[in-house]
Amino acid sequence: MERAQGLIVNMQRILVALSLIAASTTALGAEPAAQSSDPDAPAASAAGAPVASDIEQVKKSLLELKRDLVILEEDLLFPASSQLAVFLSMDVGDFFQLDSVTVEIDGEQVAHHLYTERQADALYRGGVQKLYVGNVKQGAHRLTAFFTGRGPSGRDYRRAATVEVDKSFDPAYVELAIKDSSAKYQPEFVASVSD
Amino acid sequence: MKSFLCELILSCVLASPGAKPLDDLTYGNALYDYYQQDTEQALLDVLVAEARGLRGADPVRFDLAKGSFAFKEGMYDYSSQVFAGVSEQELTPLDRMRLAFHLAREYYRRQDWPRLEEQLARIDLGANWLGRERRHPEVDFMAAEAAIARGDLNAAQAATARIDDHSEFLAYGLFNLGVAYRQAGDLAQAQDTFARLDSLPPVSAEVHDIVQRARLARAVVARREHRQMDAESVLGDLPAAGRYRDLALATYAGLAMDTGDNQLAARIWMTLQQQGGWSSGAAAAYLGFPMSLEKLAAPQRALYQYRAAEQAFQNRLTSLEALSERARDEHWLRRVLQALAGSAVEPQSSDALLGELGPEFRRDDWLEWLASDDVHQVLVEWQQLNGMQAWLERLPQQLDAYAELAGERQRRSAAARSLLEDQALRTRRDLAAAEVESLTSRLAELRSAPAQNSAAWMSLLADDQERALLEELQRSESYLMKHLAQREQPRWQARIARLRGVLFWQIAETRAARIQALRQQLQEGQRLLADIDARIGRVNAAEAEFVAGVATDFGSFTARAAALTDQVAAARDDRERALAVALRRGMEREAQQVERYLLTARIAIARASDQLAAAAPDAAVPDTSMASLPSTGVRP
Repeated sequence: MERAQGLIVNMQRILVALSLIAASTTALGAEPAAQSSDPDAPAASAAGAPVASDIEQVKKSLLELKRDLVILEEDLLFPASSQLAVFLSMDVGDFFQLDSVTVEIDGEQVAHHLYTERQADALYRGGVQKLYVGNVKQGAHRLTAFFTGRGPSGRDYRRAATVEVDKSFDPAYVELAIKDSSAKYQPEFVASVSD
Repeated sequence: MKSFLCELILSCVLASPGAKPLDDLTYGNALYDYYQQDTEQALLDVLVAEARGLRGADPVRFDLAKGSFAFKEGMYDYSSQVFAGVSEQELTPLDRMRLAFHLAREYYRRQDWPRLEEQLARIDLGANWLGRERRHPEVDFMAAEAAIARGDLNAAQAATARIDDHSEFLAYGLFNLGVAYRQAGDLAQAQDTFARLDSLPPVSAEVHDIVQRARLARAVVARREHRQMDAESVLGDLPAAGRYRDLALATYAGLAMDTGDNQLAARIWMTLQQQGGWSSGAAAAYLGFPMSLEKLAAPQRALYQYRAAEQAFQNRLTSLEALSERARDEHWLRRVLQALAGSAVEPQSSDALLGELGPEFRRDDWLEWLASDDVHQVLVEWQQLNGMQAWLERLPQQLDAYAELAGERQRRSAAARSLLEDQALRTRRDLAAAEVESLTSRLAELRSAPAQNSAAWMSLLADDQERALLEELQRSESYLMKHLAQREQPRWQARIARLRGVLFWQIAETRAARIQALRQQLQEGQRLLADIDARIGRVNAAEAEFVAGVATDFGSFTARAAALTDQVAAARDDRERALAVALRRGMEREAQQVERYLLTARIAIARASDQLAAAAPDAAVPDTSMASLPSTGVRP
């Protein structure tokens, strides 16, 4: 009987130890590298075990191939003599929450973009979106961008900005900028041709 | 606000009065992708910009961004090369801090603590306009990790305390600090740290998960300190579902046995045992349940449960052995890995495939066998390589389309060339240029020479008819000089001179109008020449435009892609082999554990049988078959 009791005690110890080991290993043993969805915090998420060097070499070669392909694609599909690219930037954006942008060239809609929260945030933080790239004939063109969103006090807001583009042999770049006018407490929408 | 956001990690493109230069737009476009966590695209953007010579007026900014994106993509050697290439002389104080930040990340990755602290010491963001010190959560997190590494837990705590409650870094920092306190034997501080972690707002799924782990850890620490009530209270806060449920239940049952509440322990063990499927918690329950029954003085049921446990362990061992054998088949293994990789996207079809491949096993089993940091890294790499292979498989189609497009451009280029030739634009241009040149020189002569009765002067202004008349007079005069008698000549010469004079006065009288007509003619000629030049220019441009891309060596692209495909395939095979080994090891680990459980169950069966026999020496050997067992009344 005593032997039996001793066995039970031993087994109980084993069992308790097993559950303790399981719990403590999972909970305390691992020291996680910080992983973050915050794009401003990229290092910690990459702080795990190093990626093997062979995969780094493969990645680099692949990126170089993709780079050359992008350049080829642009040269083929959007040659300089007809290329027109439209960029969108936002400076501050306290007075305007962007929902969508529509771009028209000579009255014809060529691009429409509906913004996710993350995309709008990327613009707010200083990113510049390549909104449209296409081909136009050489000569004068009128580009109009329509911005919709929420203005001051959360009201629906829709404004347009227009710019004349004189397309030459060189590629043309138009920047659409959303700016805050602190004097007017209103957003400003500017379209201009980049050098 | 924007200037603050731009501060430490990367610099933004700040607003300028007019449109930004293209370099800035391109850089901003890379940031746009980066802020959406598409780092690969951001890195590709900067590589394209670099190849196009669009590094901009601030190459340091460009290089810091490139290095940072490469680091995020796991290209550590490349990012180190980029950062090493940044010239110290060109760095502004802010750039110096940015570089220190990026290097600190690299040293943190390498766990090179002294160098990490050296870099962190260079970062000082100063104060905001309210005079409050500006901090970056990742900097404080890395400082805390470095302090833990050198055993200075007070410094680690101070660094962690500076992190904002809404930063995920705080959750990681507190957890690791709690682990460090526990390892240092300071269980009270470990408890406090885990309790602080428990109070954090659940800003993300990751933080929520860490909080669950921390609760479990708190319960373990409380149990170590024999504070069963505290441990129970913490475990009670754990959700009834999720990855820590089984562990929490097993720990809870263990606690109940510690305190002698075997009724409760039996209920928990039975819950775990009857939930279906296999887990470490269920395995422990197979032994824990009969053990609790023994304590509840139900030896027959305990013996029955021990036998059930023996059977379960044996079945599990048999299944593991069979599966381990199947895992030697590469194709089968690849299907398993594909199912696991797709489990996040299509869990149902993934489970169905896993069910086909090993019906006795669930997704959690597979993940458990692959659950270690190294294996996780290999699995991530394997997934990345699969993505690369899929892209490379699509590439030939894309290249074919481009080649076709380039061919079309070549045809149009040839058409533009023939336009030049067919319409004889160059010949027409030569004629027009000669005409313009002739008119220009005639007008220049007219401006410099006064009116004079000479054939040369008059021919400058004469029309075609007058010019023919002048030539006729010239021929007649020569004829007279040659064939008429000398005495006849003066009379005829005078007559010719009179006719020439009439012509001269006629031309001289209308000289202004004629010069004006010549000028108009010149302008017309110049317009024509410009028009021809413009047409030639357009055709040349068209030719040049259509030629773009034609020079591309698609064969070279294909060869590069083929070489890369081989590399990717080799790297993927390498990972698959490693994952196969890891899977088998995981299975072996589990098999060893199950064997230990099996042994324990068999000893318990022998002991329980002896005990029953001893309790009823005169009776026959007790029947422990299922049908004869009474109910204990224990229900989950």
